[in-house]
Amino acid sequence: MSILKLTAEYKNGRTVITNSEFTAPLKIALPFYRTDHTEVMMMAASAGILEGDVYDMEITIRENAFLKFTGQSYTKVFKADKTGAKQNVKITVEKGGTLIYAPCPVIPFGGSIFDVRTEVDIHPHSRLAMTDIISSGRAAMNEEFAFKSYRSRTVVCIDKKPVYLDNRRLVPDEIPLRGIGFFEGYTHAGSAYFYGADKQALEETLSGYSSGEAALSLAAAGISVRAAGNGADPIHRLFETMTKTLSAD
Amino acid sequence: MPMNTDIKLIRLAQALDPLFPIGSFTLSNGTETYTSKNIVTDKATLKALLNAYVYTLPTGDLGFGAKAALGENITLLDDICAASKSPYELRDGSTKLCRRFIKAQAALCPTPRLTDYSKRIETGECTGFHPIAVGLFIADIEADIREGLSLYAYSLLSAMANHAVKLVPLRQLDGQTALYEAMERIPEAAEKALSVPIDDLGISGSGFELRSMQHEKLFTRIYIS
Repeated sequence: MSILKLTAEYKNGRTVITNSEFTAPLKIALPFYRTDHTEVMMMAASAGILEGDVYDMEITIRENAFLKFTGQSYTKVFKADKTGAKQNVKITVEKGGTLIYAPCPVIPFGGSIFDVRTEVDIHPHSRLAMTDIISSGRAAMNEEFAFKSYRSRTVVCIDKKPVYLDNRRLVPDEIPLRGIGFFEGYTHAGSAYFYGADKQALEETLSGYSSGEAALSLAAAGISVRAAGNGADPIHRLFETMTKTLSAD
Repeated sequence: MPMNTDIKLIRLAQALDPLFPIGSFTLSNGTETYTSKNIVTDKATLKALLNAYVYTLPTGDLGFGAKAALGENITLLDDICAASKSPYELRDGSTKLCRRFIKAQAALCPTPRLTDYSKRIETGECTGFHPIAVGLFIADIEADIREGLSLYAYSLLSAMANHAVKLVPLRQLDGQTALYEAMERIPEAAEKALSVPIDDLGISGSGFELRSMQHEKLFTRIYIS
């Protein structure tokens, strides 16, 4: 099992990482200090996620801290022999804190099995942006929808009450995922969630997205976004523009 | 009130009839986006829509109904339902139907679980969702759960098929043929709904969610979802 634990605190006018623990292959790069937030990039010193890998991550944003958590390029999930790989993420955002959680787009290779569980607890007076992009596979290798299964469950709670649930289970053998109800002819699907963001500002960014389709809606609390496109980059750029409505730079 | 099986089935049929006065005929659950964007245009594409929809039912509305009928914690189900229906119109439409369903059943013949759910909605403990109300009603009248869920799934599919027939428009027989094929998957969907893990509730499809969100901005809208 690989671990990554991170605590961000607001001290003397900026956000600093007061606690970080990680075990190979996970690690974080040295933080960048931006105008109003601090950015850390997660790196994995391996080609991708392998059979049997279990990643356990914990990110805590203390009062008034503002952290942007990103990934390096793509998360490649390799062919599984038996049970595949798992990732568990636990996120807490305390009062006045902000987290932008934008991990890498996931590319599930042929035969892969991946299960991601993300639990987020946020304070009613906090801000959150989280983005998630999934590819249908390595198109150049004729591997579209060739993975065995991709499962992800992201739940955001405020005072222990779930306010947003993005629950996915993709099993290409069970239903034509290329078709209606799922990817609908596109190769990539993105979902994002915003809490404490300006709806109108987010809506304006959507009108600039021309390489696919995207829409947003009011969730039980916060704003839910769905995007479809033919490539991770256009969706990634759209989500990047949307998350920038929360920060100064 | 003791009821024989025939009466239970008929009460269920009434409660789940699209003509039951709760307004389900005003909700298309994204179907209107599929027809207005010319994704659903004929019998074949309607079949694909219905097949994808019935595939998602055990973790969607049918799953919530099944868990409610089996006596799962109602507040928990209501919370998960609210969080998972992140497109506003899906959530709001279901809440509206739920309130009207409870009101109509209370006027016909009040039942204990529905009355309790209604109280929880009044106090704000629950939001109120149609599939949960349907599940509680199935348990209240002590109907066969599988039969109840199958009728509920039929009612959802039939509504979707009929909306598409009107919107495209399609020949009535094409709509019924597409529905007939999807119907064959109903017993399996009902069975799966009964055993769905709580963590799987709310799994839908990203396409369904996107189309439902896009519906809010459609230029011409006949349906409210």
